[in-house]
Amino acid sequence: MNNIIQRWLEKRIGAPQRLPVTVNRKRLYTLPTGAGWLLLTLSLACVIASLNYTSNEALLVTLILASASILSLIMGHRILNGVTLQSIHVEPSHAGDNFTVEMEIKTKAWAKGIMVVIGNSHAAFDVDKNGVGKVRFSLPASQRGLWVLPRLCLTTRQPLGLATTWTWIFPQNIIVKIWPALEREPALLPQISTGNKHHINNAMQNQDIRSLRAYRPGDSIRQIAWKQSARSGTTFVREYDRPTGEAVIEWDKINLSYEEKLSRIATWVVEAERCGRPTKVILPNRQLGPGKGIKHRNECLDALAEMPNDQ
Amino acid sequence: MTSKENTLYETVPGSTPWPKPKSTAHLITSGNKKYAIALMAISLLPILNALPTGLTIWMTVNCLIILLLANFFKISRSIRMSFAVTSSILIAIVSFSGLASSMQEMAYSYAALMLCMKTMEITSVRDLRVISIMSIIPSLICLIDEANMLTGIISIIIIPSSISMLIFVCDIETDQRNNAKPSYYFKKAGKTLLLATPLALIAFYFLPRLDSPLWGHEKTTAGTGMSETMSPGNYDKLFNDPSVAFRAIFRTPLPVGFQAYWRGPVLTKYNGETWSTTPSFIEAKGSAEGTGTATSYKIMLEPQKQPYIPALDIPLSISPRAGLILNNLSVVSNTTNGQWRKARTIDMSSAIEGRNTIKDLPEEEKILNLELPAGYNPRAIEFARQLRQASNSEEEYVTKIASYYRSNLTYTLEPPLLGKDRVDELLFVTKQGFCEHFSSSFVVLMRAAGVPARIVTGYQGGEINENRDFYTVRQLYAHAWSEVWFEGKGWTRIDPTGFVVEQRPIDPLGNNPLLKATGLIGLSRWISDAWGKSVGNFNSESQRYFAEKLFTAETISFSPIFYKIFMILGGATLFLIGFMIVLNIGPRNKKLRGDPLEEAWHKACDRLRKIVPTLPLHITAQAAAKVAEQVLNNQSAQEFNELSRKYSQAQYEIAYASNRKTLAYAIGKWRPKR
Repeated sequence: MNNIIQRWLEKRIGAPQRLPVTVNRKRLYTLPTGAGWLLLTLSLACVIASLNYTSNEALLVTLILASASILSLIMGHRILNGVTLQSIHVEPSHAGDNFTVEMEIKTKAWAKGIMVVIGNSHAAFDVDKNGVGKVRFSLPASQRGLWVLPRLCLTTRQPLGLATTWTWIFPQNIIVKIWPALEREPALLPQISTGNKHHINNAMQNQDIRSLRAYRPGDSIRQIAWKQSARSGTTFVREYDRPTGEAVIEWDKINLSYEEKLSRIATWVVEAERCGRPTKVILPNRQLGPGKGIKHRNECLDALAEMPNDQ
Repeated sequence: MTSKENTLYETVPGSTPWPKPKSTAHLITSGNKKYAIALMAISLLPILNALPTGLTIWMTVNCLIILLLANFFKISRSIRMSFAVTSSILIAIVSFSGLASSMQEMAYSYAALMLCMKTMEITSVRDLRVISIMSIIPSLICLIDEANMLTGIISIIIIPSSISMLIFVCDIETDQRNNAKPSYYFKKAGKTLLLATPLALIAFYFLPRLDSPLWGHEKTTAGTGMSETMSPGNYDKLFNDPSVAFRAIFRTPLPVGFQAYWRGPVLTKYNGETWSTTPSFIEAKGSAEGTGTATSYKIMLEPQKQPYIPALDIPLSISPRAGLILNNLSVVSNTTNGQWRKARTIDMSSAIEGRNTIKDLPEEEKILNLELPAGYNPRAIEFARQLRQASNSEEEYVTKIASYYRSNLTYTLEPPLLGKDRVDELLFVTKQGFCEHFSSSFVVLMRAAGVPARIVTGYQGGEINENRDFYTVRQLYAHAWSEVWFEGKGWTRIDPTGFVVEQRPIDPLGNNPLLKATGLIGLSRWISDAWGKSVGNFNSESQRYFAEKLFTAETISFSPIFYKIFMILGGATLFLIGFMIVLNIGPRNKKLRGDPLEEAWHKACDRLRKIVPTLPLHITAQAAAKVAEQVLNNQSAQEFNELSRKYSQAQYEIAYASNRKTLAYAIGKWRPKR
């Protein structure tokens, strides 16, 4: 049964629409909620009983209740009718995290209580006096890749909660970029492409210590801050400012499985940006950089997200 | 976009085509619960009186404990469940032990228990909703059971409360924590109910009524009605009863003053104490004859215990399905179906100021109307004989008696009780009485003088509404007068009470001291009158009248089934029209189907899906092309590949914008071929 409705619904919803999308009355659906069915049953029973016992007062009261609930259907319909989904902005994120979706929705100024549903997440929003409201979603980014935002649902149970009114909106080409997950314990950045093995030593001698951080596999033993480590019980390593030195991350030189490789590259790209080092990423089909800064980092991460699945 | 795309969620969220409600457990606070419990407590008020005492006490204790647990301790589910179990056990006890003495008490107990049980178990917004709706049940049961001012007021309080609770629940569901006061929600609820009232009224007046109940007995709250007996000298309680006997609607000017005599049973038999009708006289005559202006009117009769229908002097016709006119001009209901117990509306016509055209009195009838019990009232009989001998005609005799009444008797609503010779005592000893005494003694005096006479009981006067088109006649307008047979004139109405007082203390224009209630009592009486007129007495009969008035110019009467169908259709049409008007207010989006290119592409994908049913719903162009390559023949696949490439370009390259339409057309023309 659900499948039949599903198929019919797919047909009705049809192609994705370009933003802004205005909700049309022909695509509004209404069904009673559990409470609605309860009231309906109660009203029917009371109408029959009051007709039987010729109690006009009870009949009138029941009919007022029933009409109020029918009116609530219309009110719910009017709340959603003409609502405009103005814009959607998706903030990319790493797999395993949550990505955020921000929507701007214009409603009638009096229309309250609209909820946006994506997947199993619900979000209600407040509107300003012009009827413009911003909805922020935080959705789990389960798997790396480029994804299309699924169709979303605007729903309301206003004003009496006796019926659910809803509509589906399938916005056209809202791409969700999910970057590879970051490694828990990131490995050290690959060394400078010039191959100067003494760089770290030089750095250690020449640079000031910037900070201490927890030990990660691949850290040089010389970097370990023994005193601090002994004091606190965890192993710390000294970190030095490394303003110069371009990190070159090469796809082929990492000896891991496909997705793990992507993860490592992503971790390095993030790390390098944090340290302010210029990076160059060499992927099988393209090469990025050298460059630095957030913009470059995002470009690299996007490229990683766009990598095809391992076949 | 050179790389592949997936859909984040392949199918619609969830598996239902409608949105699943979100979990709402965290929204339930003790404050919300308090509102729900308060609502439940109010809703139980109207039936509290009808509940078995043990149950009431138990429920009160139970609720207090729950309140304590809910607000001061963290109650575990098991405790709540144990209360639920106790409640179920109590329901079983109520059902099987006969704690509830009647079915009605049982129904009340069930409603109360279910409400109490539900309040123990508030864990989600849904529960709050259920409580809001269930809280209406007790007052509705109460209204069905007995509608009076009190239950009316209670339901006026409870229904907005539960509606505002529903609105409130809706707001907490969507996290609208605007800290609105209860008054805000009451205002919204009031608005909703006001909007609902017109729709409800349409449904109310158009919903076909049952002619007879589907099950059970009819409610009998019938008033005493007009009595077939009268014992002047005993205490009569009708005089103090302000309840409505009937209403009469006129299309022509209202009869006023002495015209407004509503006939009831005609009493001819006297045993010295009690007047009664003569059973042998009750024979149908069809319709009476009379002169004078014919006035047609409708009588809206309250339920009563007697089959008599009050009719204006002189009744000419009555709708045959409602009743018939007897020989003595009493009007009785069609007693075959026993419908007189119900409130109903009856079409009638009468000749006001008319005169009965029956010119000859059959011998046996004459004897009946001259009969006096032997051995009673010797003084009165002697007095009558002397007076008759002293007068030249019967008319003069009546005048003389009138002057005796005027000078000797006084009107009082609380006359002394009378002994054996009641007429003697009244005329010569106590000299105090009201209509029953006067008419009774007058008829005795007439009969003693050889003039056929009888007593007519009924009502006189009534309250006239502001529009002066209908009368409200209450039980306290009950009256008794007499009719005298004059040779050549026929039966003539003579009201002996009129000899004694110019105007009865019960003034036909509504200046009755008993009714002259001002302030709250007056208002409440006015409300209950208006209510009874427009809602309370609306039944299948008045609905038919309403339909006839609404849809036809004059007195075409509908066949019952036809009118019922008509009512259903009419009501439904009106309802739908209203519904459509509201639905159609709103923007019309011409671009309902979205982008034509997208549309064409999706159609092409649908065509491909017929061959490859596993093709995902929101597949990308490249992926679709790949699939097509595998299943279609070379030419078709190549075409598709080309189209999908162009489609991708069109979607992502602005330069391509101008060719969208042609591309959409090309995609639309493509057909998959194996």
